[in-house]
Amino acid sequence: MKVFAAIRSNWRILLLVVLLFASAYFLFVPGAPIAGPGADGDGGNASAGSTNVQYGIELAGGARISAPAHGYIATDLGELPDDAAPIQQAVAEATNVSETDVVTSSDLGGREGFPSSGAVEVRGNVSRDAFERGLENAGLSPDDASIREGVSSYSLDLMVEVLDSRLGESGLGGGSVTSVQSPQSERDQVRIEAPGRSLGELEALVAPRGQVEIVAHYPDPDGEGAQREVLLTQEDFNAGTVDNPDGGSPFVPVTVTQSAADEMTNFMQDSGFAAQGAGSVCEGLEPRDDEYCILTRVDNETVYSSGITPGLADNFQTGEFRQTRYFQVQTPDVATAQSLLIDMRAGALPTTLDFGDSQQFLISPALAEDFRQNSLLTGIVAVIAVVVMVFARYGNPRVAIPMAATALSEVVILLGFAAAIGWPLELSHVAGFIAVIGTGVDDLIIIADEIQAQSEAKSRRVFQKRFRKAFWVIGAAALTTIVAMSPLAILNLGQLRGFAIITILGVIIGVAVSRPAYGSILRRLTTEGQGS
Amino acid sequence: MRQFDVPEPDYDRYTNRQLVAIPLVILLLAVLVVGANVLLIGAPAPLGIEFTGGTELTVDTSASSGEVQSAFDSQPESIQSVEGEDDRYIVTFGPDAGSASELQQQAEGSLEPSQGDDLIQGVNSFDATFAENTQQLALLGVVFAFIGMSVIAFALFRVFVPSVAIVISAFSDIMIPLAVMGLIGFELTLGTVAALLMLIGYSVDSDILLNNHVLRRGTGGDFYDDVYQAMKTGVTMTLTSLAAMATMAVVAFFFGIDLLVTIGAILVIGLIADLMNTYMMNVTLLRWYRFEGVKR
Repeated sequence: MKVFAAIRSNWRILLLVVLLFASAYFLFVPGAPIAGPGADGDGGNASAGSTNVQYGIELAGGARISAPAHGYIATDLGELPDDAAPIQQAVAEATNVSETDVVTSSDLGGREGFPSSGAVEVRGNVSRDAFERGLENAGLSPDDASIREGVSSYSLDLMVEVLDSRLGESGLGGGSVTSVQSPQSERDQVRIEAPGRSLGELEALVAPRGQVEIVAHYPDPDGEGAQREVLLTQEDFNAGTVDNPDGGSPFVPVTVTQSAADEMTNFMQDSGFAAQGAGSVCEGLEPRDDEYCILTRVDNETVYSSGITPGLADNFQTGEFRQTRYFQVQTPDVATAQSLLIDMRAGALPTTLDFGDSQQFLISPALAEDFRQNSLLTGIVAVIAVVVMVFARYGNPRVAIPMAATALSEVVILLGFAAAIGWPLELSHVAGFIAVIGTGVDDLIIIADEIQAQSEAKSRRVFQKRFRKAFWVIGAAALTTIVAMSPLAILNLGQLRGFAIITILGVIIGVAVSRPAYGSILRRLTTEGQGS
Repeated sequence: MRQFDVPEPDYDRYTNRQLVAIPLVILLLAVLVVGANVLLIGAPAPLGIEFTGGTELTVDTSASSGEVQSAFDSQPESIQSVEGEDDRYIVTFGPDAGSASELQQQAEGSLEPSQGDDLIQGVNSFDATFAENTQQLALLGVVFAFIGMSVIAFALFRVFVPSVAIVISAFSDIMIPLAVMGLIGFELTLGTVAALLMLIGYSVDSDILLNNHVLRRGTGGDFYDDVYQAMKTGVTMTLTSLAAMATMAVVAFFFGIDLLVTIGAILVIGLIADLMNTYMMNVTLLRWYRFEGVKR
């Protein structure tokens, strides 16, 4: 019973201690169950050696690009026909994109994030005028529709997915891709972060559409000139890993899906490509009209052209390809092969990013390291200043030492919380921590003064009464701070958001746990002081 | 070993008018400066690139600041060397100077990196339209924060004069640093906006404390005693914060951490303003309320 009574009278202190231990566990114990990229233990993320705290790119170094997607979407166009091909054709022609870059709710209406009816979206860097003209040509009335720049959230999610897997495939560990809705721009933005990379590298990775096509180039059987036929796109096969044989060009081996293999075999037989092209030699990226070539094309640009080997041609002729389904995508060099492989695995982007309207951020790992250490140091010096002031004012270490310790404990708990949920820390959070210490010490001074006022708090009842009085002020001030900060926690204001969230969390932890605990500590210490 | 005590001011020697005159005149001057800035440059203080659009490059180069200046196709808006880092410059461009990648290429084309170091250490680039909208959003945030704070102040005390005192004081605590920023050409950034919002919190802290001691505690005691009790706590609070923020500003300045310098500097100015506003203006308003206003 004695233990129980002790717990009851000191529950505030106990709660603080429990939270501190939990934070210490999440902060320092390797292998603690933390969330986020650091949990995977991959080398690329910015987890900081001795602790489980993860740093965002501002404190770890890296690049960030936020950019909207190219395109326009028209909604409220009324009922669209079930077969939207004529609309796609008209819009594609007016805007000079390929027909597959025009999508409508006839096809995508059932997908999440795409308007269920009356919507046409063009994906690509096109003008609003051209889009409207295209809609008119398709017999739709753009004047009654609402047209906005950007793409549907369905397409945006697709972009996020593709870019995310591109980042993963390229070995940029710890990166992240998110879509950001912001009132600052009409279009939603895609935000891409990559620790330890330069802006140039990141841009090169995310800028291309990444559309891989295998194209047959052959003389027109009915006359002059050459014909081209798309044999495969990256949806039609599973890619292996890059192979770089001696004396040959690097290639990516792929396994073609059954339906694509059938179609490809039929084409090779019917067009006479396999029969007449066997053993052909193709040199140069712009083959002559009379050559039989297999072209590897990325984003409508030929990166490699080669003839068809007699063995493969034979495979097509006999139809054996339907069983083997093995094909080699040829490339000029290993680097191209690697980037091709990334595109094959991640898929093509539905549209490109508009870098003209982008926000870019880069910090070198060295500078970030400076920021990390120096902001920590700055914080420590600021805390020392607080401690000196508190000592100067109260002179009594029994008051001052717990005060400094309590204020710091709030930061430790916040850090533990951040580590536990895998929240990457940025510079603005450091400013938030300093704000938390600031308001924390203010509150602790109020508690100390109230409890010590006039005479020492002798009985439990007097203590409780004074504590409640102090708490009214603290609670009121905390409420005001939370209300003042909450718009910023919601609005998309970059740095301000992190700052506001940390401040609000700190105030809540402070008022709920640590500041009351300080009251209890102070009571124990001062009454003990009287007894002795 | 108590080393300092908060001195008790002789409030009864001064009339309400005398006491309130100084903070009001300073507030008026601040509002004039801020208003003039809004008329002249369209903002309360010069705006940073987060609000105007533009690019900021951090370069480590052995070149001189003059060479840095001529390395780019368009004239940089400013070139700032970093305290404690000899070869580091922060070069800022307006929204029309070209894209971040163009500026990086220009820098890499004509500047020598300092020994064993990357030339480009940092890039921060904002699109102009986006930035302009950020500006409106930030303004909206501050206005909402202020309204929220005012509503809470009224809800807490439910009497007009003391609540208004809190609101005016918080307003003045924001206006004075803004005016100082406008005068010395300190840029308004997201960091400064954060600092101004922190000021709302600090300002309200000391005001609530004062109002609580005078109005709610109901000791029925002497007005000046109540004020002095609140002051001892409130001044300690503000001085402690002041010490922390001043130290942070100075240390961060030497490390070149702009965000923390701005926050520290704004808070130092604002907290000094808060001392004046709380213990000259608010005390006077409360005195008027206690001795004259209640009778009405």
